Amino acid sequence: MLQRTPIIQEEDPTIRPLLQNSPSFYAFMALLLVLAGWFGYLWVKQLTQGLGLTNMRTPVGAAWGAYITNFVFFAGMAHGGMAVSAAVRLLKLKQYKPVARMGEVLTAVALMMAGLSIVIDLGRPDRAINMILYWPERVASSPLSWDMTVIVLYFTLSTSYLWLTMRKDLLRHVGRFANRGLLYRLLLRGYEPGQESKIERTAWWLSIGILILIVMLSGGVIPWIFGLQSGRPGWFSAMAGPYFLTAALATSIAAVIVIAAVLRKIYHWEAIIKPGIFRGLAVVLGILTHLYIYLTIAEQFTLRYSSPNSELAISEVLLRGDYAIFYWLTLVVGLAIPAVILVVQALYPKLFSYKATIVISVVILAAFWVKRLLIVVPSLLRPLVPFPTGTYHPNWLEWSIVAGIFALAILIYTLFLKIFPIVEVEEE
Amino acid sequence: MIGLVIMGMILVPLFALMIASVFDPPRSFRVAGMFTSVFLLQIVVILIAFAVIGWILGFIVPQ
Repeated sequence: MLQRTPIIQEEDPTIRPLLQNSPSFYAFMALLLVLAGWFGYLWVKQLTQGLGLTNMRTPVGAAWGAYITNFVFFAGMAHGGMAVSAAVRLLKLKQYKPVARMGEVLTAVALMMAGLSIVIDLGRPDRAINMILYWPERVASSPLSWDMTVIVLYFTLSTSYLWLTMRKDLLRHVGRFANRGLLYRLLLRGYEPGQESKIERTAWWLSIGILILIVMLSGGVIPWIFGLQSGRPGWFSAMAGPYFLTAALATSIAAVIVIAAVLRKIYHWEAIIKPGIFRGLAVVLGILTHLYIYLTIAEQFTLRYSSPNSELAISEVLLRGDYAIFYWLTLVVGLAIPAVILVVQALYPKLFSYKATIVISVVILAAFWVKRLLIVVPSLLRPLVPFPTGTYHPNWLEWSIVAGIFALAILIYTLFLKIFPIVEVEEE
Repeated sequence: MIGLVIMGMILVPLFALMIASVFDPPRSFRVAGMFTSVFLLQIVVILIAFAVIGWILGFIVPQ
């Protein structure tokens, strides 16, 4: 964990991350590098010795596990970050502008990690180029082709959007940081002072497109990978879209809350990231988590009443079987109790607790990772086809690679923070 | 054909929104043009990166 760094008096508090590097920062970066290096070593080991090193098995067991869970988690996380930013511009929510870029960067980093998680799950990632070479004929029948298409487009759109909206801040600091001057000037090519109002309007229009893409990707393409598989009880459902979209938005808003809180504490941004931002985001998070719980209960009702036996078997695995302890802990401790606390805080503002909101957001983030695992795995263990049933728990290699991907995500986010201004300055 | 339809579903709304932003006052093509150029450039870079990464992984994965 980073320690608070001493306040340096300067004219612009938003550039503190660009100025301050404490010993604890270097120690933190070293830890992340070690984890990322460990991840790299294990991935090479997995590439050379095969996916047999993991606990993923087929036909007995689960062919998808922790890596695909990680993919769904990060792909979901990517959406709300941009959604926060797009909503700030579209609805002119100036109060939330200090966290808008944090959300945009979260989107870019999370999409990278989502893509990486898929590549790691491939037995022959060197053949991933075939997805592009045969794209025109595959896209008609393969949701995975749609998936790759929309992720690439969403990533390029979000990073282009980040570049567009960041340039006025780069211009402000280009003369101050000699070691970043070349990079800043490269990114400022074609920029003309006085363009700000036009950029704002362009970003406003783009926000509409981004929100459409979020619904298409998180509420459409990714859920369809699961929802279109008629041979997998529990996945084959028209509800997959809203189910995944709600989880995606809740996950990312929880992540934005945690990131904003960490940066607020480290860089003494109490006057910039005001408690009102956390209050507002906590209300949205509480509502979305409640909606997700409702969808979960609705799903269980459908699985248990008058459903085919195969659907009932999935419900049994979750409610009373191998995964019951994780399911109930996630649902009650990870989602229901936090959601109730958030909504009580919203209804009785005097009860609002900043620290409780941060802790709740961390709990919700962890709960949504486990919940994704509980979506991915049980349906693979109880297929419609007459395969023998099996079990799945990630082994040490899978946990190490998942931890390495998280470390890599934090590392890339921290590097961005140290190179570019993370807080968008509001022009008066 | 279906590929074009899907790409159209994604890109036509974006294109329409970019055109709308051009005509939104202050009327100018410059910002929208630069954004579109960066957007397309990144797609090209990603496609090339796919090929390069696949080629490098080809040395690691036993053939």
